[in-house]
Amino acid sequence: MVVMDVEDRRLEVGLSSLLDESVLAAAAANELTSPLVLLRQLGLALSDDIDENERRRLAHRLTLTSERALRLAANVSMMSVDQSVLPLETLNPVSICQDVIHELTPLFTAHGRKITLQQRSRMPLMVANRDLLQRILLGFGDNAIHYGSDGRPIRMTITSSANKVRIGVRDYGPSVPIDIWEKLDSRIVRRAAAPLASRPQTSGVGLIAARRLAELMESTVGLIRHRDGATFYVDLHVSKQISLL
Amino acid sequence: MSSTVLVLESNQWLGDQYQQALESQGFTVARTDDPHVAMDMIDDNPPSAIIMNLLLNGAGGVGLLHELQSYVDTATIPVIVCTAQSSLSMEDLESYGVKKLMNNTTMKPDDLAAAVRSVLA
Repeated sequence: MVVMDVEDRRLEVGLSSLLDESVLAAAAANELTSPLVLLRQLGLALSDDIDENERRRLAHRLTLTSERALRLAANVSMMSVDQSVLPLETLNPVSICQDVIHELTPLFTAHGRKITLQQRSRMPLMVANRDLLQRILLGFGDNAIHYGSDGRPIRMTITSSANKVRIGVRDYGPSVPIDIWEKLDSRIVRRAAAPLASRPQTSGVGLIAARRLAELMESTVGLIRHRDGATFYVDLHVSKQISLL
Repeated sequence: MSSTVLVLESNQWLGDQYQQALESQGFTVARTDDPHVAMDMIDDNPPSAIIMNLLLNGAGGVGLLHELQSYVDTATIPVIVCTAQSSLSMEDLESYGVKKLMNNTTMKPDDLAAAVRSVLA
């Protein structure tokens, strides 16, 4: 198992380039092509002479695919938000994860997948911006959806150390490169944003957006590579609020 | 007996749409999103044609094209690449045994079956 933190100095170089809006717009447009292709095909199929059950199935897929694409687009647009307008608050990690799982469950079910929450009995509260954290976790979930099975559901995990709470999304997909963040940065800088070679459905721009959103609330995202998959995680500061009571 | 088309598409729902479009035109469809599994399927039951995206899990589509070209019996299976990557051209792909390049941002469902028929003709 290899643990990587994203606080690598080299990444700062790539990130600064990312902030060039025109480059990012090109990358995001490229990234959104995949769901748009699917939406178009679903729309064309809807216009065929089909029975009611098929019409409902296609309409459901249209809705879920458009929601997924909108989440990505919204995350990219949030990257340029002013940090000062994002309030941090004390949050319960379990409650946040349950909300995320609740939102992702229709998409996972429609793909024949499951997503579950694994946690210890007592978890400390953490400091985060609720909206940003949910966006990051939803993005991780969107990426993981293709890399689970009935026997091996995607797992959200919550762990804690002395001063951090880590929320991860564990999948069972093909291996990811150890220098994933660097690769993603360089691709976007080259205006060639594309899914990871070994994970065509994994959103490069989505992961870059997750990292930027995490920075906006002074947290970090990272990756743990496993022999049979990966865990994308976000580290958040433990709230000291309870100790002051 | 209907012709069998092997469809490799990493997006499950897009693959479903391709399958439906082909089956409605009388083709038998086999599916996978894994190039390694695809080679096993091709060895077990050689398809009449292959429709594939280049962005696939694991080894990827180019790896599969290389593998297909490496064997006499698989090198002759016509391959149709279906992709949104507008930067690709047939010139890039001909040496990989690709017979047709389709842009899935503009194609219609019936275009798939027509493409298969054209490479089988």
